[in-house]
Amino acid sequence: MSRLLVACFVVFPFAGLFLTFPTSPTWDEAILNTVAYVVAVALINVWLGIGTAWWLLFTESKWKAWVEWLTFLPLFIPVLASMFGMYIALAQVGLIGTYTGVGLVLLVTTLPYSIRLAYNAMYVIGRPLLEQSLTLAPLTRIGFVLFPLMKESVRTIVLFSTVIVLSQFVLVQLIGAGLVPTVTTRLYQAYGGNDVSLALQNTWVLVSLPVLFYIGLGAMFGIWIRLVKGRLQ
Amino acid sequence: MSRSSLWLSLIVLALPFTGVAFLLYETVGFDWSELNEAAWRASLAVTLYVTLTSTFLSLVIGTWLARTIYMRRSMWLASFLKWPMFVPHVAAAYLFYLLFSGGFPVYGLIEANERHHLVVILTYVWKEVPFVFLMVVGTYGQLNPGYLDMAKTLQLKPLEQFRVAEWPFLIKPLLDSFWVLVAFISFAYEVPALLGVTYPELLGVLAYERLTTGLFLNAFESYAVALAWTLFIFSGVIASYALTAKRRRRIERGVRR
Amino acid sequence: MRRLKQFGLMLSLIFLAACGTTRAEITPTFEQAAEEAKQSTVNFYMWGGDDGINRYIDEYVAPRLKETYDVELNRVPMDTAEFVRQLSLDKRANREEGTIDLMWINGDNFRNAAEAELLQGDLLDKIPNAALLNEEAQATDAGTPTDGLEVAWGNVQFVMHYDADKVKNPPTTFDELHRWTEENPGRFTYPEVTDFTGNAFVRHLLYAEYGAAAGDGEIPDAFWEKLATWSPTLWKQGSTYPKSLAQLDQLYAAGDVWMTMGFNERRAEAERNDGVFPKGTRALVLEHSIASTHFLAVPFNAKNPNGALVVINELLSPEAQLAKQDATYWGDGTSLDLTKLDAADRDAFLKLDDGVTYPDPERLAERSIPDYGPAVIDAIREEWDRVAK
Repeated sequence: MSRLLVACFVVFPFAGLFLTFPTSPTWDEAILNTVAYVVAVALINVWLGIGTAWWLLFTESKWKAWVEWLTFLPLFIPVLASMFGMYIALAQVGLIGTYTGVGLVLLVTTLPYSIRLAYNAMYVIGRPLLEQSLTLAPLTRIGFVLFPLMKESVRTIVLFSTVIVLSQFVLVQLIGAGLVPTVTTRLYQAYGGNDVSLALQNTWVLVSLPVLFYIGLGAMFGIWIRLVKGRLQ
Repeated sequence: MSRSSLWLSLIVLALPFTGVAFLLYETVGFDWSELNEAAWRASLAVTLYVTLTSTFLSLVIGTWLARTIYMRRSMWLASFLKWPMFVPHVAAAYLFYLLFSGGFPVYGLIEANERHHLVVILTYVWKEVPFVFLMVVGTYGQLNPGYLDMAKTLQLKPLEQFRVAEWPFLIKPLLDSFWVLVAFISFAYEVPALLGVTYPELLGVLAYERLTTGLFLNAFESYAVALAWTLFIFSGVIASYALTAKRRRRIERGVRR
Repeated sequence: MRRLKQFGLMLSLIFLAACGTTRAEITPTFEQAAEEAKQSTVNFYMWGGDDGINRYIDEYVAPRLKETYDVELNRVPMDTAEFVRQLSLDKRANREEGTIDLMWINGDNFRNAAEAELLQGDLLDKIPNAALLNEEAQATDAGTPTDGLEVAWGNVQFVMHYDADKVKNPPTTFDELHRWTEENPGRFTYPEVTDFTGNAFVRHLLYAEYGAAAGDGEIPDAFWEKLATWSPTLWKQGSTYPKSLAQLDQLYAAGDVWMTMGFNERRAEAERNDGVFPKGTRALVLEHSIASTHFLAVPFNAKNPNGALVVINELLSPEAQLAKQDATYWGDGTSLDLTKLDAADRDAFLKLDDGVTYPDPERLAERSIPDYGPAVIDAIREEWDRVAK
């Protein structure tokens, strides 16, 4: 009974979405930017997250404790606190108002989570199993062993980074100097205005992007694993 | 290959530290007693209230759900629980605003934009319970059922059983989650700006507002608050990890080592 | 160790590469500026919260600029305080080549920008159409002298709007407004004083009590106590206020409150015609109304200052100002001195004052008062908290 209540509580805020019917979104710059960023940042997060977590698990180095804390602490630096300093740092390198600059700060907000998730996943799989795969060539290692073992956590990393990227408003406004429109910056200005349906349109996009990616990745991995299993037999 | 990933990650992650360095630089010579004004004090109070309530509720409910799903093997609930994770905080705030701005369920029972910040807490709980659940469910997946059985054979009370068999394994993920949630909720802008009240405002909202309106002199207040809060959270993280390190190492490696 | 050195070298190279930029120069004459600006883009940063204003820029101004001067106008919606904050960070970071070329600014934000030396000066002699400006409007901005750091773009007066279908006997003074809120609890509110309009409303109340004597920024406690007596009958019993004018408009459009306000006597016309505001929307001018001018400015590190000058010139032209005052887009009053225009243009302006939601222009003009200075604005912002509690 209590579980049913919980399920209801989880589902019922979505009712707000249905106050308006989602018409097909106009494929303007904001949506294109958003999708591009989500994809790029997710890919880089998977790559850097797994790579760094691998290093943390396997490499013997006297710097390991420092690196661990360095990758761990940014989780606790609030975005509002660090964004002005990041603005100045990026201004020195001329990255303000550029797509690269915005991409970089989006990475900053998502990478700590990815490293953590990848690390936890590989820890649970265990060192011995992963060490075995070191005998294989890198590409084989990734395709045949690593990804199938870690597919759930790859999906979770993609989910986290997608949702975090879609949440960033203040950061994108500041570092992008208003020149990089995304669905979120448009949404934020929309619910300052009179148009409830416009705001809901944007909300649909914000919710459907992570869902689509999650399901899409699941399907992709399913196909990949079937392929790999076929090859192994 | 992982070495290059490492270097790239470190470059990217160095950026927020430059942010903190900037705050340090800006607040040199700042008169900290300026922060002793009613607006900041009230803000701190309400921030602690909202943060601790939301975090505590999320941790308890998330853990209870993970436990229930593990014990009763209800996979259907687990898939439902994933749903809020797909909704970015901003969108969640808007959805809750739509639901509650007119008062709900009975007219005026719970309303957005009121002093007790109930809807803010509700939004955060809704979003963070799946997060906690995700963190904790892995632990339950690995749990050795032998411990649970042992606790039962020792005829301990249910609470004692929990404390003995499950709690030691939960310390790490719960500690992680606690600090992540506190850091996030206490200094966020979008959710409390939409769902909160004019006075008192949460720390993130007040800091951002002081920074972007009025005379530039007020900016130093916001920088100082941001710096102080970040350092406070850092010290909390480090302290709690140091204090529990011994116990956690014992759990991870086992006693005989 | 070797890796570390390589890394450090690479990093310093990146830094060095970025430090070589210098500021863009404004050409000495307008004709040269127009030449320089051909085929360039001008980033125009302005508040994007009003659809009519956005459409004016996108549908009227931008195509004209492309046709006449071959300049691409890029409207960037951003809150004024945010981009002024960005400029101050630019100054700190020694960023000589920025992204903002032209901005819409006034009041507090102008004062901050001027004091922090974020603006380019000597604009007026480089812009031919600046000769048509109304001298008085151009001279000061909410009490701060403009010193040629910004160019007047439009002139507005503060006006309230109410729904005549719901409000049968609208108040005529601020005291009557107070009594009206007591008779109709929960039907009135004003934005927080961090919002420009909310602050202006409180300034009106201040003027009603103390007149020009309050100009020094010393606000007596009695005023705050009186304002606090409004709270129980405001929307949500005064426990919270809309964060911005846009949110107040939302409440008004939804019928939660029966009055709204703003710095533009013609702002409600387009909304009412679109059906967003209730059909019964009418203007309400109480015993006085602050007249305010808003301006255009060019930041110190504009990448395309010549293009910005071209755009300003175009925006000051009589045709553009006429289109701006028309209710189809914005309805913003002109900053030009009508006596300096030729007869045909002048008539065109005078014909425009005809809309359902417009206040009577004579009444509005005779009740206009100049704005208080920055000291009062600051004081209100600092002390209003005790009312909001």
